This record gives sequence, C-alpha cells and structure tokens, in this order.
Amino acid sequence: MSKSMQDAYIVAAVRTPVGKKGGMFRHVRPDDMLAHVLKAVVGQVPELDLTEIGDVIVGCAMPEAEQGMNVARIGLLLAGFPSSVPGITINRFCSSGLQAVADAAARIRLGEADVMIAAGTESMSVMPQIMGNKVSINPAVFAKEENYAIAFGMGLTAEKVAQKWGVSREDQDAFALASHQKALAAIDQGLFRDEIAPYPVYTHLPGSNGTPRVVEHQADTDEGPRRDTSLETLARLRPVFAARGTVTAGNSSQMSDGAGAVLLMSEAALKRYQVTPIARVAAYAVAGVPPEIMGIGPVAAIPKALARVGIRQENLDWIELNEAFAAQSLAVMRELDLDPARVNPLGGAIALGHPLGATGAIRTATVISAMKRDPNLKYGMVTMCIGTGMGAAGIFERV
Amino acid sequence: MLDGLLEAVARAERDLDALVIWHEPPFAVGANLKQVAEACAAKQFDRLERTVAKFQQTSMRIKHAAVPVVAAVEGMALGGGCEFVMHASHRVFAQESYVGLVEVGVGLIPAGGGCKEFALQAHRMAQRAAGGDPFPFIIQTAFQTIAQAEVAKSALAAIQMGFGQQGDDIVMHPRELLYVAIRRARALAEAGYQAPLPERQIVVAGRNGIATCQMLLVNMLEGGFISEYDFRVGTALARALCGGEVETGMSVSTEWLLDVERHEFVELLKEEKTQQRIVHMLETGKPLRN
Repeated sequence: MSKSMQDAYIVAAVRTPVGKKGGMFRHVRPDDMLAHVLKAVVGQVPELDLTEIGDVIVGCAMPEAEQGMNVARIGLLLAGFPSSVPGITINRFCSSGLQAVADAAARIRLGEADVMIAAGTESMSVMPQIMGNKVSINPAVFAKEENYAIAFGMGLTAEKVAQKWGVSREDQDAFALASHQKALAAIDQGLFRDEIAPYPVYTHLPGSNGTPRVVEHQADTDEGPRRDTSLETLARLRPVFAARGTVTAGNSSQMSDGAGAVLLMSEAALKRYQVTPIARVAAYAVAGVPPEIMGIGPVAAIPKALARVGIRQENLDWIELNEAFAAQSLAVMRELDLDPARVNPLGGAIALGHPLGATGAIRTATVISAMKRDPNLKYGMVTMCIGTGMGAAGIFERV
Repeated sequence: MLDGLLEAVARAERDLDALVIWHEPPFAVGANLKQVAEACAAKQFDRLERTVAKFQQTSMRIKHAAVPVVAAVEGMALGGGCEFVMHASHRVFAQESYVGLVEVGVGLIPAGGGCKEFALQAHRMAQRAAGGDPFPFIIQTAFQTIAQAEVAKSALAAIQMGFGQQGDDIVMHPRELLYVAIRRARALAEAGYQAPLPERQIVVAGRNGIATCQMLLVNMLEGGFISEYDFRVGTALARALCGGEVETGMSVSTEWLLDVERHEFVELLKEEKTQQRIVHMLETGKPLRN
C-alpha cells in the first residue's frame, strides 16, 4: 500500500436486471438488491480474500428509508462480507453509481487500497415520490428569480433543452422507439446475459392456516423494453411537464429498480490473484451547467474526460449516454456530434430504465460486458446528466 | 347574513339545546362578490378587512358554540358556505352535495377560517404520524384541493377531501336531510355536548412548506400550466396553509392562522388582477385566467 498514482483496473462488473417501478422488484428491498450484486461480483473472482476489500462505495440518489442508514454497509453485511470491510454511500443523483466507480478507482490510484468495490442501488418502487420521502426546499430558492431553476423538475429542464436546442417531438419519439428496438434486439440476442446476475424474487402472499405462500420468480431480463410500442403510440402521449411541450412519458427514462457492482483492483492485486483485468479506469470528469438545462451536462463533462485520457471522441467505440430524456440525449449528441451508431447500441434508459443512483454502475457493467464480447472495442464511456445541472463522464480503456 | 348567524348561535346558546344550519339547495355559494367588487373599486380595504374578520369570528362562534351546531347540506356549499360547514360540530350531507373552496377562481383564497381548518387537520394528522410533520397533508391534500378549486361532487368526496370529517352523516334521500340533522343535533346535545377548546399549539409547515408549495407552482408556471398571477395567488394560499412565514415546525395559535389568511386575502384584494377576476366572474360567470 505504499505505491501512489497506480492504475485502477476493472476485473468484474455485474448488475441485476432492471425492473419497472412497481414491477417485478416492487417488493424487493434495495439493500437486498445491493447484497445480491455484491455477492455476484466477488463471485467472479472466487480466490479473492474479501478482507482485502478496502471499501465498498455505493451510489444511491435517494439514500433514505429502505435505502438509508448507509445502505452500503448494510448491503455488504447482508452479502456476507467480513465485518472488517467498510462501506460508504455516496450521492450525486443520477451519476452516483459512476461516481462510486471513479471514487473507488481514485482510492486505488492513490495507493490507499488494492481491492475496491463500486456499486449502485436504487429502488424507485419504495419511494413514495420521486424526490424522496420528504420534500422540503429552501425558501432562499425563491428569494431570487435566478435561483428558481433549482426547483425545476427534471422533465421541465428537458423541455428547456428541447426548446433551446430545437429538438422536435418527432425526433424525440423516434429516438425513444429506437431505444426500445435496440434493447429488445439485445435481449433477443442474449447480449445482456453476461452482465446480469439473475435475481430470485421471493414474494410472500397470504396462504392457508396463517402460513404465507412463497412464490419464487427468477428475474433475469430487463422489464422496461416494450414490444408493443410504435411511433403512433408514442405520438399519442400527451406532454407531461409543459402545456405545449414535447416531453412525454414515452420519450423519458423509465422509473426503475436495480443495482450494479464493479470490482476494481490495483496492479499488485491483479498479480497477487492472477486475475486478468478487462479495462482500466482511464478518466472521470464532472462539470456544472445551469440547472434549468441540466440535461446538457454531458456536453461539459465529456470533453474534460477525453482531455484527461488524451483521446478524441472519435476514439470512443462505445458510449453509454444515459437517456434521462430523449430531448437531452439528442441535444448532447448533436452538440458534440457524437456518432449515433456508437451511442447506446443496446438501447438506453428510455427502454431499459433508470434506477437513478444505480444507473452508473449498471451501465458500466454494460460497457465492460461489451468489451468482453468485442476485442476491437478499445474505449468505452458512461456519461449522464445530473439533477440541478451537472454532467459526468467516465472513460474505460480495454487492457 | 353574518349578523343572522351570530344571532342564531347566541339564541341557541341562551334558549335552545342545539342549532341546525340549513338552507334549501343550494346551501350557500359564498360571499357576495358584487359587494366585494364595489368595495374594492372604492378602495375600502379596511372595511373589507373588518368584514373578513367578522366572517372569521362567525366561523369561530359556530365552532366553539356552547351548543352543538349541525350543518345540513344539500346542493352547493361553496367558498364561504363551505367554510361554515367545515366549522360546524357535525355535518349531515345529502348525497348530492357539491362542496369546495373555490376562491382561487376569483384570485382569492379562503379566509373565513377554511385555510386555518386545513392547517389544523394537517397538525392533527401529523400528531398521529411518525415524524410529526404536517406538510405531507398540506401538499398532498389541502394545497392541491384549494389551489385547483376542486369541488367535491358527492357527500363522500366532501368528507374524503377534508371538508367534512369521518363520522359525519350522509343521507341518500334529500327529504330526510333536515330530519336527520335535527335528530343528530338533539343526540349530540343529549349526550352532553362539549364545545372543542381553542387550539393554541398548532404545528405548522412554515417557511419550508411555503417554499415547497412554490416548487410545485414554479414548475407549473414554467410549464405554461398556470399564469404569473396564479403563482402569486398560489403563494398566498401556501402561506395561509403553512401558517405564514414562520419557522417550520413552530407551534402557532388559531388566532395567528386566522390573521395570516385574512392578511393574505386582503393583500390579494388590493391586486388589480384579482379585481379583474372578480369583475369578470360577475359579468360572465366564468373564471378569468390573467
């Protein structure tokens, strides 16, 4: 542990399938989902001495109630990790899971740990409302008009982005349809099979003689993608966030439940365990933008991350751009001239769902899985916009 | 009418066992807007404030009368009529009742104790709930109901929306209304009715609650669902429901809540856009969106 500025490598990444809010995981606790992916990710390196894990960093956007009480520590103990392994929950809204990966990598780079786990968990089913159990905004927000945007809902900011960047309703709906089509094709081809750790859901129902009836269901497929959607169906949906708007439930990300986990090691640990890494955490960057156009955040973050790696965006072979809204995804792609063929090849959050703080870890698992499948894939990126106006981008390099 | 009600309560306390407030449908459709418009035009805001204060005093007399006061409601009980209903000891609703606080339609807020009663309901619910926070009821029920001028379209809905209380009576046949109300009033009297004590420790949502209501409003404003002036009226409503610009979780008195809603009401009356809304309603019978 005396080295400094060493590389951090990803050796395994897994996720649960993603459930719709109120769907297959509606009775599953987020700490249980977390425990599941933690067990699954260390299960990929059976020889790992769990006491070597320096920390378990878990992203969660609404760390309260069922996912409060430092869910990281609870999850790792439920996973059966030794009590000597610490855990911390972090929050940067939708980038929390990616931030966890970045923070875990940073700890390894600094020589503070040789083995780290980054994860994310979020159950939007357990949240009574999207802003958590108790919404309470600072009165100071309304003392100055320039601060009003702090109070804007995410959908409204997507409308602002759509207006400013001229993203039409038709383009948003077409983007949403493509997301579903790509996700369904990937499911049909079994492309998510490697990254998904199937989750056995046990539902306790009233039985007989006071004994509950337990029904088991093996959740192994993302629940969000819809085979019955079409441009016509999407066009019929009414705007939700603005009277004359373009953002609908159909071209917005789905509210979801899910968890993901990533196992990172230093070079020393790789040698010690004789593990072949999949990728190096090449760079991570965050940047701020005005809160009223939070969806454009990746435009500020991606160039910073690229500069840190010393590559151009043309070098990115696979981009996981979180589809918070089709409006902001298209605005980001157009502003940076991202190649649509490389953006979300397996669909995005509009189809696959967006369990807020878990998404970063989940989509990291998708990139890592793609790198395992395709030896020509050198650089992959996970990027997203963040509530109150930020963007995050993490770049992974095949090793 | 206020004098009549005050006199009726006084006589009931002096000579009778109980009082039933009844009117053939509609029960009551609120204040006389024509008089309000004329007073506004003459800039008689002090007089208007005194009238509102008397309205509040009447509501409070109904609520704290020494004898039970039963409201027998059929048809519309809107605005001030609804507020009298809310302050009664007990309500008997005909199934076909339309009850609501519709003041925002003319750029005003309830000020006859209606906001105070919802703040009080929030406080009581919070006392029973973990955390003791009155805000969830304010935001999920009271604010949305009043801000959207929602009218209950049945007796059951009126109770569920907070204009009545669990235990109120619903009669299916309107001709039974008065009979049931009189029997209920008599039963309450014979059971040794005790008027409720004035509440002096009401926990309110305060400044944070107002700001969180404004968060809803600003999203509706920016989304083009409401006007700038709707935002202004909504903020006044938030202040009245949240107990004014005091610290969140602070305990206040009933009198303070009445002062806040009266103050907000009169301030709105001074606004040109509220006056335009009142005149437009008088002339067309429809709300003005300005």
